[in-house]
Amino acid sequence: MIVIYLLYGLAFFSLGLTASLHMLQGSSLPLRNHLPWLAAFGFACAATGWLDMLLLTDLKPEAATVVQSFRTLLQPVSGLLLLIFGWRILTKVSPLPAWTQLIPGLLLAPLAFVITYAATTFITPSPIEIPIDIWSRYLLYLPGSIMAGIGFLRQWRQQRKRQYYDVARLMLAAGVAFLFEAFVVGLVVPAAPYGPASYYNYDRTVPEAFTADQSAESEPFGLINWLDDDRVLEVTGLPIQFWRMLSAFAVTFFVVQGLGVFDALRKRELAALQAERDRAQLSALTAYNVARETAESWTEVLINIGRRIAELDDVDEILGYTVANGCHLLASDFMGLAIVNADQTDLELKYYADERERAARLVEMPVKVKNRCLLQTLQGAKSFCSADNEPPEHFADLHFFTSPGGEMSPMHALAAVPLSLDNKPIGVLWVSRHENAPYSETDLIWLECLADQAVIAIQHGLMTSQLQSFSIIEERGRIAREMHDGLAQVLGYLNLQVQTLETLHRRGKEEALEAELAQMKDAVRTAHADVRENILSLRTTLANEKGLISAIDEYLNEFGLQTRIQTSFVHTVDEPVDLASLAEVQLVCILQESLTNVRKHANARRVSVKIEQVGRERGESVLMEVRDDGVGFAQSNGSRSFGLQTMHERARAVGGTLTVQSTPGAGTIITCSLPCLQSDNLKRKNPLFSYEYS
Amino acid sequence: MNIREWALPVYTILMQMAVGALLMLWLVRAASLRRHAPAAVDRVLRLPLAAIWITTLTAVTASHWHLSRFYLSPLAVLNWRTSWLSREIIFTVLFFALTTALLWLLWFRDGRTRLKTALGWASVAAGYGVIYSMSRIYLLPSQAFWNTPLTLAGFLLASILLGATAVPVFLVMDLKFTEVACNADVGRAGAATDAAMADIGLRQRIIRHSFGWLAAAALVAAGLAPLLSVRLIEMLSHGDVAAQTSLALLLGLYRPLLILRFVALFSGVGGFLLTAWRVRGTRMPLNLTNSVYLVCLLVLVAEITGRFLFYAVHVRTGL
Repeated sequence: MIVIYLLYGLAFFSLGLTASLHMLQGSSLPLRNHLPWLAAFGFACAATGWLDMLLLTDLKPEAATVVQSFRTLLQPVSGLLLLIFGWRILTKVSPLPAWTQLIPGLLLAPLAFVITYAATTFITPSPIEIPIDIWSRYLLYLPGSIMAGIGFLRQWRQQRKRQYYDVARLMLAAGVAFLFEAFVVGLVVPAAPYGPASYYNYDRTVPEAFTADQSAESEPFGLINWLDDDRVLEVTGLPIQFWRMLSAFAVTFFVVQGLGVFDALRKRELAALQAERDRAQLSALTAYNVARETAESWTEVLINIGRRIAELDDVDEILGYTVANGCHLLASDFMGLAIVNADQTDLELKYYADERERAARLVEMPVKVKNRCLLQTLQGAKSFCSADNEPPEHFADLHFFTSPGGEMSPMHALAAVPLSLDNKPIGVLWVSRHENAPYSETDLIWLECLADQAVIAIQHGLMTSQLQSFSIIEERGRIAREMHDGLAQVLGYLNLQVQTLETLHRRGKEEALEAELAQMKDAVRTAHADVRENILSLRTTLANEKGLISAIDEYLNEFGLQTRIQTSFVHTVDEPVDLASLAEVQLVCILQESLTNVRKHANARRVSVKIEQVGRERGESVLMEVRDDGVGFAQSNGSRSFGLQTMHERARAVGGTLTVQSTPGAGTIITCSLPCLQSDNLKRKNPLFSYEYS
Repeated sequence: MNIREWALPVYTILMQMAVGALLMLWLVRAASLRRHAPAAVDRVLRLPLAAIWITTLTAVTASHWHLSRFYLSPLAVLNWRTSWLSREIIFTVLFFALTTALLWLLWFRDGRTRLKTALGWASVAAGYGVIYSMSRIYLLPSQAFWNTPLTLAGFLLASILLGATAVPVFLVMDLKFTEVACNADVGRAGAATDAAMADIGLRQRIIRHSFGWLAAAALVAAGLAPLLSVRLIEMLSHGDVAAQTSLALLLGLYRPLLILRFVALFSGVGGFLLTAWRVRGTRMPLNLTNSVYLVCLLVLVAEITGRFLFYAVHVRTGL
């Protein structure tokens, strides 16, 4: 028995120690808040077991009394600790079903009866430790063990649901161990006339029962024994202490194992959560990068469209570029741009891009757009985005050209935005997909941005064509002026001279006649030179598709041949020069005016032209210098020739400057500086720019 | 006392508790019908009435342990003309039947408010028929300790005291059940329904309005209990030998239990008054579970102890 009590105490001491260690380590178990109660219960039970062991030794009567008192006090305390632990593990670890709220209310009356019954037994003439022992077991150990058992069984179910089968098995075993403990510790009591352990003989009263204990050994207390210590020994052949030791070992083993595995599992779970969080962070970062790249691509495209508009590029090219890039960036199978025709009767497809061809096409022949949604978008001047469950008829008439295979898979997603100029609908821009993946709100916003740019391009195209008309008119005026000032004057002069020659010829003044003829020859030569220069100027201005440098080079060669003035051309820039188209035109005009002045007034033998790109830090500009070795002229502040004034105006018109340096007898230097476009920002780095406009 | 004898305290206490609780519950209902819709009030009273029905069933079942051959118990009603025991059984069966009908109406039939009201009061009347018959059984000339009008008064007071402390338990139990069920619904559906929230609110209002006078009723009953005991002691002290012996047992061997009874009684009623004061003083939801359960437990212990003494102390006059 001493060994049994020793082992019993050791088992519960291990339980208390393990729970304490888990508690001190800051365990993350769901049971962590209840571990102090388990630890205290373990230590109290261990102390009770060891006190029982001491009582079996040869103690002095005084010491035995003290030990017995301690034990009597400790037993209900340990039972109370188990009751608290059982209650907490049953109710606090996870929420109980609603119907369990009814249990305490319904158990009140039975509990009151048991408590009263227990109270009545204390007035019987039995030693005080017997009712304390018995009622500690019935009222504290029994419900505490049952609740702890059910609590662990609930854990078993929970862990099974979460598929933690190893923990679940241990929780099941711990639950069963606690229920076994409830039986052997809570229900089996020393022989006494209380509760389930004994069944009264009807004829006995309580005082008589205890009297009978002393007289009748065969039937102690005059009772039928039921579940008391003796009955267990009789049935199993082993004392109840052995079974209690067994239950203590079972409880300790499975709870300790469960705590260990549970802790490991929690750590594994935390590691998995950590990994999941890392994955989520990576996904978020990837999504952020993708979003950023997409935004950058869109920004590049939109800026590039704006740049091309500013450069007065061809509208067809700009719109084609817009459609080609929009189709790709919106991951669409088709993108179209349709414009209302001149009669305002039909919507006609003008440009389209097909993802397979990765290029935009200009539609030469009118192709009517009949799709209902697109027409409604135009009429309502409101964007449209197809939903997930869009009716199939909304995607009808979205194929405009038959593919080489003949069969075209239907579209299942559509987004369209109207093109409005001065609040008047002029067309529709749309994208569509074969896949049933509706466009997002963001896609629609990007499409609207493209539509805005397309409208601006169209507006600029219209304005450019108007400007070109004005330029032609202006050029015609200039030519008329030149002819009036030059050729017409010479022809008038020649007419007068011819009349003079006739008069001189009739009068027979041969010498005067020859002198007049020489003057006429000079006048005709001058007029011829003017006409040839005008022709050269016109040709050079209108032939700028060769490139600025080539055109200037060619012009200077022609100029040298015509005027016999030696020309030289030095340049440090490469084609294409980073100037706006208008600036290029003005630069050529300034050069022509300068060279005309050289030819007419400078009497120069050599003229040199230098073009270079300067001023990298403060914004780039193209600098042109025209230097001659002619007679020069004296510069005065107020009187500026009409030609020089025109040159200044031309430079200012494109944001540039012009300076003239001249000294009589030392030639003239004309310097013109025109600003470059912000080329670094507009470099075509994006792979999307590799799209060719065909 | 042995198990067969314990069947009597179990039966008498549980029956008095059931009858008293039904009386208090029907008073709560009558007060609530002035403020709230009958259908809503009856929905709130379903679970408390079911608890009363279970208590009655337990009492009736427990009473059979007192019999040697329980299957012959129906024969006891044959002597209804002369025997208070037979009448007690008849009233008990009547009470149980009426309560069952009332429970069925409350759970399964909407409307019919007047019928429910009438049936409830009829059940209460039948219940008090049980208590009256029960007390009359003990008015035996051979039992000096029992044979006084104080027995009837004691039983009536016990039913009021037990009923006044049991009804709060049933109402709070029902509130707790509804709240947990509502929380479970929130967990499943993401939000509580307006009906569920309204039900909880109604329960809280009924509790707030009824706790005050329930506590007052318990206080009055508890206040009369020691007066009855003093009067009984006085009567016994002037009685015959049997009465003197009973008094000696009560103040001798069983004095700790007598003290326990009154300590538990006044602790319970004091706790109830404190709880009622807390409920009255705030509009915030309170966690009343522990306090009302403890109050009821203490009063039950007090009354069961009193009933134990009632049976343990009696001494037969003569042979």
